[in-house]
Amino acid sequence: MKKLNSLILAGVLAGLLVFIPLGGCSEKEEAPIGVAVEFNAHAACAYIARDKGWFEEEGLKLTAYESYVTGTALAAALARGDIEVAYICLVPAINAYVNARVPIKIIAGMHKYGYGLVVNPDKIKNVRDLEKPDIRIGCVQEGGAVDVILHKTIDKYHLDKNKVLNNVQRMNPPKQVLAIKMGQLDAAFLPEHWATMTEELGFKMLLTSQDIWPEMQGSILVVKADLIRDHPEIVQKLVKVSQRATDWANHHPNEAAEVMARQLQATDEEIFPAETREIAAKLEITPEVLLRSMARLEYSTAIDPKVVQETIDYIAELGYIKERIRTEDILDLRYLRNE
Amino acid sequence: MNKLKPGWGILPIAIFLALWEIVARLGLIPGHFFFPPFSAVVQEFYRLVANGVLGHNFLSSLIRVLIGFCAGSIAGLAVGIVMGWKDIINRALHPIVSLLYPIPALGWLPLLMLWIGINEMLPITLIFICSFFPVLYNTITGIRNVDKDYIQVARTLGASDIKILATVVLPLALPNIFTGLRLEAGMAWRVIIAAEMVAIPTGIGALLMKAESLIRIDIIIVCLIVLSVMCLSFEKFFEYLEAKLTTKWR
Amino acid sequence: MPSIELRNICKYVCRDVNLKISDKELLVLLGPNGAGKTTLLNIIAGLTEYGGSVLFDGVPVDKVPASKREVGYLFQDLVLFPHLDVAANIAYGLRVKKQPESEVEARVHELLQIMKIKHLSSRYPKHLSGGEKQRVALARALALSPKVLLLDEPLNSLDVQTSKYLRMELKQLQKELGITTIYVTHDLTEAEEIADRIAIIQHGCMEQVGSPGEVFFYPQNERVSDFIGAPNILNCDYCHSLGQGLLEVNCGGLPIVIPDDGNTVQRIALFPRDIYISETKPPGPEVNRFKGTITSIKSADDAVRLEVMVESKKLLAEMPHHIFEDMDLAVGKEVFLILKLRRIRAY
Repeated sequence: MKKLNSLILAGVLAGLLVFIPLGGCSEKEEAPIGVAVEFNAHAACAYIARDKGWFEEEGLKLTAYESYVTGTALAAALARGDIEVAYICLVPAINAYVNARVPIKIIAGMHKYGYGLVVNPDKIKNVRDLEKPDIRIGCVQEGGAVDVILHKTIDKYHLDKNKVLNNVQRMNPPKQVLAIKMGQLDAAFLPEHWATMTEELGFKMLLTSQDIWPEMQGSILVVKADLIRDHPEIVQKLVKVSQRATDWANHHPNEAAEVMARQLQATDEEIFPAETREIAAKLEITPEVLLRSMARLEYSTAIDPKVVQETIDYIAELGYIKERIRTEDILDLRYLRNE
Repeated sequence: MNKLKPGWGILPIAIFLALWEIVARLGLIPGHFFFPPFSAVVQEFYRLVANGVLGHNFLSSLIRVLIGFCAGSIAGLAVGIVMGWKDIINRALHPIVSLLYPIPALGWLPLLMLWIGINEMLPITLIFICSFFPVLYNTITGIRNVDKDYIQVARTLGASDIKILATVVLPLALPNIFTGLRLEAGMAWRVIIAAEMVAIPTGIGALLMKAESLIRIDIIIVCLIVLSVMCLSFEKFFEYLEAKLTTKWR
Repeated sequence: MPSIELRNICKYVCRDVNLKISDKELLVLLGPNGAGKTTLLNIIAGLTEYGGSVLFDGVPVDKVPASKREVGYLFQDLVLFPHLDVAANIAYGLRVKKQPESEVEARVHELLQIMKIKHLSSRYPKHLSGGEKQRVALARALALSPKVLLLDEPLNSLDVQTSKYLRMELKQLQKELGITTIYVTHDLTEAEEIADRIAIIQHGCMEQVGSPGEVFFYPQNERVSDFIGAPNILNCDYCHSLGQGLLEVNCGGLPIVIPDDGNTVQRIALFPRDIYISETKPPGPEVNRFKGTITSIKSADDAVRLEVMVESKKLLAEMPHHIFEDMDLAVGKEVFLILKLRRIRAY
């Protein structure tokens, strides 16, 4: 028995010695990448590039293309190591970098703005009504970009922080839309396209992120530092594809809206729980809605380090990150500047 | 074999904490799991206590647990006494109880979210349910397990049914009742966390969600430690109470 | 204290049971397990429904609930309340009746003295010995000064010494208090020692009621005789004192020496197990030794029973199997019988 065990162990070790170098070699040649996006209009360039097959055109091999309902969920996936490339809101990316020490770099922007405060016009006439005790406000969990918008709103309009925060119910955007449909929320801070969707349900856009934070950076493109180190060519290609898709979306808004409608509607059933599928089916994500929604964003790969630092400072103040980092630590715009 | 000195119980914990600190500091946990050292968790604990965040959330959870648990236990006790004592009522209600009892407390959550909505009553109601059924069951069992001879003796000594229930049956059923209370005291804390994780703005569960969303594993661990301590404390409390009331004669 | 009468009692195994117990009497209800003894006690206490009637002093108490019948009941397993200490157990009935606390304490104190268990008053039942528990249970049963006392095999879990001692104490106490008492047991010796009268019950039927001597020496039927151990009963023709505490009686030609208690003897009885058989002539004085012939041998589970004809008298002897197997006994063989002097009972 002892002899057999020794033989088996030797065989396993030999196998490892053979296969590990081989595995390393094949990684260098093919370099597949896992991509994750947020399930909303922010990730338009990614959805468009996928729809048009531009990733494959550039020779990029996608092992996975996953969508997450919130930036924070995506950030957790980044922290777990499931993916190498993410189209994600700035704030959760910074959280992942600082709090979970995920080794990522921001290589390009995706859009500015793209968030809003929608309200029931019968119950809320102005932003100060958010303080009323019977008002129910929806918002994503702390750590999300929309939560930062919420705090910015409180700061800018000098609202009573405790009163407003007491009214907040934390839930992800599709749940908020459902809750609005069922009359369980009076206001909601939402990312696009969800914010514009609520207009179909009778809500009104009270404030957009342009009103609240004029220079706000929306989503960005991040990659794992290892990818930059081992496959800079892939990183370059990613920036190229994103730029191409962004330009196309800006020049073909109607077609872009159609592509988004198709992409977002297709995965609808996976997002909504079964019992709300009927309701969800009634919430059509039509090209018209997306056109209106996408018009509220400014799609651009440009990214201002100053704005990024402002964001870092602000969320450090909010206590989301334990330490203030410098933008140089997290930004790597070499590939963007090469364009 | 000599009994180990009381201090020896701390030793495994001390070793565990030391290992944790070493492993985390040396980054021995594979790849992507960011794992803060124990000292970072302790630091964060003090910070959360100092800025009042932990205290405020803990108090919210505590109040909900106390209200839900007390209400559920009292109701369970009351119904359990009636069902345990009166056979006809037991036979009438037992089938319904048997159907409802196995439903895990968290299974009620989606229904309660629709019926009650997301407010203070949601976690309290969930704790109520989670406490009610086990206490009910254990009360019924405790009462029905009391040897009928004790009841007969009390009758010959002139006691009425109510008197027998109060002075003989209930005291003898206490061990069973305490078992129910002890189990559910800890369970209540496990359930409240889950209830608070569903869009409730305050409480340890809400703090956990916030920490998860911010990928603050140190805060998550602080919350888990608080949870563990509270579960244990509540269970120990009932253990102590049971010992005080029943050790003399059991 | 009332007399008790049971009329046509029907419950479980008991069918048409009739029984009268006199005022202040200690009646022993004797019978094997499952005979219906405890059932009858429960009926008298009012703890179970029944057919027929129970009367105290000629007044039916069938509609009176158990809590109001003023019956003190000492249960078979004593059933002390485990969550109450000794004093609280004894005081239970008094507190139920809402007696003033000072009176309760006084009564408890009195009973602790009577039962000689004052040192146990704050102990819990789990820390009591069998004998101590029995005293506490009795004190509790007597606390409310009941009119009737029911004792259900109260000594069966005790060792022989303690049982014997407590038995006599019980008898004495009953006489002092003058409470009409029914004592249940399956032990004949116990019954004989304490009963004023014995009622033998088997399979729910009252077989015989009488004084211990009557029941033992004049069993009404074979069932009673078998139950009491099928003793050899011999009529005595005459007796004369031998001095030194001995009496010689003549039972149909058999001169038998028995202890002399000063009374005239009409009958003697001796259990089969107290008759020894020897194949050879036993040594020692020729007292209570007889020659006889084995007329039948019956093997039972517990022993071998041999019928031996001595003179014209048939005597039943009994021996364990292993003793029988070591001997060479057969029907028709001549053997010697030794009657144990001290085990012979006289009536």
